[in-house]
Amino acid sequence: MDVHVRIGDNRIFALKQAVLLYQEGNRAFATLHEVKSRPDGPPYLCAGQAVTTGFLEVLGKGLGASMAAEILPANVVARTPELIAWWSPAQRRLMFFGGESAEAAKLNGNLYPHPPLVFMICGRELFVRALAENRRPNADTPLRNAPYWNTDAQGRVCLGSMRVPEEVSGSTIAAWEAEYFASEFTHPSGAVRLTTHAGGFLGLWSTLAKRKYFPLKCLVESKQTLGEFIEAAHIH
Amino acid sequence: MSRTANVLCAPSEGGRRMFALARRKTSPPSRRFSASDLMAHRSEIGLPLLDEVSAEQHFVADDREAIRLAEILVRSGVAITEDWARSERNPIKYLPLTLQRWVSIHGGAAIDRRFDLDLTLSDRLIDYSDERAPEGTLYLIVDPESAAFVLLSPTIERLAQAHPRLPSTFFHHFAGALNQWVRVYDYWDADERVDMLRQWYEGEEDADQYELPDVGGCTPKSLKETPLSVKGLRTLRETIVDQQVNVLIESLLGLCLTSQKTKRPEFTDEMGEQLVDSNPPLPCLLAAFSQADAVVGCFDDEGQTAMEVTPQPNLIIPLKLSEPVSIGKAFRTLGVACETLAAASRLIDLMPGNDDGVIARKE
Repeated sequence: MDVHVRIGDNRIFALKQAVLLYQEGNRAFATLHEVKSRPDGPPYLCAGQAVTTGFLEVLGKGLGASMAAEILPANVVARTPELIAWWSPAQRRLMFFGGESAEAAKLNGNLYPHPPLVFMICGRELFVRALAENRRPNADTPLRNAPYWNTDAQGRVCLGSMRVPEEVSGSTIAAWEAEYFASEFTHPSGAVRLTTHAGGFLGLWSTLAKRKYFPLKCLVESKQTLGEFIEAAHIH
Repeated sequence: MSRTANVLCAPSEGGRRMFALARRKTSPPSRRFSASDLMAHRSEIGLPLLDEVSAEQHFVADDREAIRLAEILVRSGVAITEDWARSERNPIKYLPLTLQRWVSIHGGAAIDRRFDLDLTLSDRLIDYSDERAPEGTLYLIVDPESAAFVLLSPTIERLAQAHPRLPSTFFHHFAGALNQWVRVYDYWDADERVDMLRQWYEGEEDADQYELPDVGGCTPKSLKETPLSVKGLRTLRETIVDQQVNVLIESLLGLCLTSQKTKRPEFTDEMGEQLVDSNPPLPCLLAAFSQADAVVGCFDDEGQTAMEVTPQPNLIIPLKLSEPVSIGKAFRTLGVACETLAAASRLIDLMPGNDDGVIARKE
């Protein structure tokens, strides 16, 4: 009878297998070895067997890299097991402002025109950038900083009290987007230039309430293409 | 030392970091060349040793409950102080050593011969659940890794020759004694499965085209006889002249006696809350009439969906850290469960046609 003890988070992880990598130049292969323990000596490796793609699939699943097949919405621009990025056309949206600024409080709860945006979820982090053209971007499309508080220079959103959907998938990106605009913009996040508008962030949004389209000339260049944006988050 | 020699020497003697190779026995150094020095070395295989690699890693977050339990077990005589040294004074290692020793002295070797079971000491009934037991409560849980197998027909035929009521009596008490502690999948379970399948198909237009396992057809008629009580079986044994049948009955009576030494703990509301919407326990033993009969068919069919919802554990023995006396009692209950399984394993050894069900254990 095998015995296990699982009290709280206490665990004893026993060494069971080892993967050895053999390399010659840029070619390599791996072998998988059972590890045997002895009461009177160090553990030792048993004869190995070549690592198969089947093993790698099992390993990948064990590491959480498995992903069920899904039909992606047309606005998704990139998808990996850890990341999903999509674009959202220019449109009018409700905005909420919180925090200490009395000037910001005056802007609260109005409909404003917004630029086309690119959203990205990496892990459980949300990133947002703006687009200079209202069409699906490609890898070389230059990005603009999203003109929003709570968003840092890398486009990372400080989620704060935002209600974050449980799942990250093609079917939940609309919910992520809705929750982003349902939460309050409360403060600038780090040192980031959000707009070229002479009045800065508050100046920009105070002039937009009655306008139909967002003035794209007010966007600041991110000095980053969509491809670079996605790659940077993925590496991070 | 040459570069080659440096690579091939034992790691403690060389400067490079490498896996230690098992040392080969060599003759003591000599000032003169001997014949053996001039001969090519024999081809030997050295097992790569992992001298500097930890064989295990411990993740310890809060071991107060483990320490409290270990203390109670020592005081109640369940745990022994010698294991404390073996565990390197680590309560998380001390508890499994205690459990292994407890199982071992209550028939562990016999259990392992036939049954593939796990014993888990846990603070929750479902491993990955966020809902743990009330603070100060732990559980001993017995569950199968896979189901053991017992072939009934040869035994039933042999018993039927000795007395017409012996087959049903044997099956009734054998399955009953085990079911007291763990789940046995037998022809009654298969019958229920077929009933359920029939109900599913009944509403369909072509219901008559479905084929269902013929459990009734594979069940020996002798099992329809009314089984004798344990007392009646003892009386009957006096009249049996067949030595092999006598041994089987004696072993069965031993199993019944062991099984009834104590009662299994009650399934409480608090356990029910943790196991709400769970499936029935996974069977620890499949009792079939042949290797591939309708009972096995139903078992395989149920097996397809048995894990769709978390199954209930087979045996749950709660441990209340605030009641040290009850913990000694709980371990005695575990001892009875183990002895019952061991007795069943030994009985299966005696049952004709069951040479194949022995589990080959890796060292």
